[in-house]
Amino acid sequence: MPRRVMKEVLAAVINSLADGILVTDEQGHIILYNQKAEALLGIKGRTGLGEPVQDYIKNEVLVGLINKTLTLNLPFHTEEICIIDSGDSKLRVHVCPVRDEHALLIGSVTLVNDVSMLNAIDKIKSNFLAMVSHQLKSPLGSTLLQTSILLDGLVGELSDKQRDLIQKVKAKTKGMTELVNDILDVCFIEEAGYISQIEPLNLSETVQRTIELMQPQAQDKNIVLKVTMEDQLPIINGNKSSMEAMFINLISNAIKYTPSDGQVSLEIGKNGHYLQLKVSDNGIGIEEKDISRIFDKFYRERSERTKHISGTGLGLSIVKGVVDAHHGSISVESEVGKGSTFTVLLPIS
Amino acid sequence: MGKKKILIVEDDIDFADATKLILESKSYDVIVAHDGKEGLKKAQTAEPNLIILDVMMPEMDGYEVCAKLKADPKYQHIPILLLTAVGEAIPTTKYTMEMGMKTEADDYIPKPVEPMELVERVENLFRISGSKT
Repeated sequence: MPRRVMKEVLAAVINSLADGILVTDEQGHIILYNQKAEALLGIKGRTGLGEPVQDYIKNEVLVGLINKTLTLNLPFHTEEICIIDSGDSKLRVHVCPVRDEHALLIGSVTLVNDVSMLNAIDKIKSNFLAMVSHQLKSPLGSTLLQTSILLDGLVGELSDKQRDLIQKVKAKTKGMTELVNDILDVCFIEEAGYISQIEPLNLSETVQRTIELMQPQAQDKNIVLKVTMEDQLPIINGNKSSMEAMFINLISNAIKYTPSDGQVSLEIGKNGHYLQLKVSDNGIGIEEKDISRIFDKFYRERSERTKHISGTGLGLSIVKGVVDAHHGSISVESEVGKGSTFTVLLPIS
Repeated sequence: MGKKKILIVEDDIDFADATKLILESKSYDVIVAHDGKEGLKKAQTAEPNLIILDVMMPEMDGYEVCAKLKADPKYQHIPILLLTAVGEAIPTTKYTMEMGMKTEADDYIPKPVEPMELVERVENLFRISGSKT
């Protein structure tokens, strides 16, 4: 294909894209945009070409993202994703640096996608979740408190048979409460994977809080919780509450599947361009046939060794969801009867 | 000294009744309100010595009630125990423990609640507020 024809085809392709595209040079001057970007961002006419981006794009957030991408020029800085308001629409903008073959920064490219519809669906889903949360959690909470009142003898002593029955009711209700909480967590993380509040995080505070929260569960089984943490942890970009959910689920799982008087340890430190967390236990371990499935929702190993351990089968899928949303990776090594080690790698910002 | 009066603000009637039962068994005088607005009104008229406040409620949520009371010099001395709708180890919902702590509540207790823990928290708050005066 002759070069000139190729150029025309490319121009036609760019104009036919379902998403808006906006390209600037390294100075932040607009060098290319398509009709969709024109419509979504409200750029008037073709006069914007060659002009500074801030003169033609009204949205300050987007201009800020483009300028940040161009001025920071970090070797590992890859992309900026954000939801912005544009009139009645919600736009998802995705800004990436453009580099030549010598990795020299020569500009920026922004993709613009109208997510108003998704956003509306998202709202319906959130409302539905709030409804489920209130409608299911409240009665379960009341039932739990009522059974506790009976068991604590606040309304009279129970016979052994009555106590046994009420204890079973309490255990089942507790399990159901955990399930509802876990389902809400899964939904939250799926939602957060799409639109999350990402901020620079120092995880040492999160780790300390999690350890404090988990201490009672460990003490119940006389398990030692050992934490080894580097003094200066590198900062990662992440969502704080989902990071907490990840730690809680990893550590609470380790405690659950470790017999009394065992040990659970958490190591956290830098490994190349990643922050590495290792949660190890000397518990019952995972059978090889189950390893590939443990991150699936609702999957639990069902065998003689695990039948006394309660759980929803959602904990590790929550962990996986959080790690994925942070562009990290998770792996597991395990030996039956000896213990398991979960290793998470999260990119350093 | 007469009985100490506790106001429970909780929209779930069964939960409120159960909490009332626990506190009455420890000889506290208990009154109940079933939404935020009613709770605020009762806090201002019934002169409770302590308030147990649920977070998720219709009309006005617990944070708002708490903020309003703590902003008023007439009521800011009343200790407030916030009942957060957070599961034992699930801090990812909107109503996190952190939010509980960010409000000016004097203490918070996550649901599900164990009766004896509730009583301990209440006694502890009375001890603290008693030592201040």
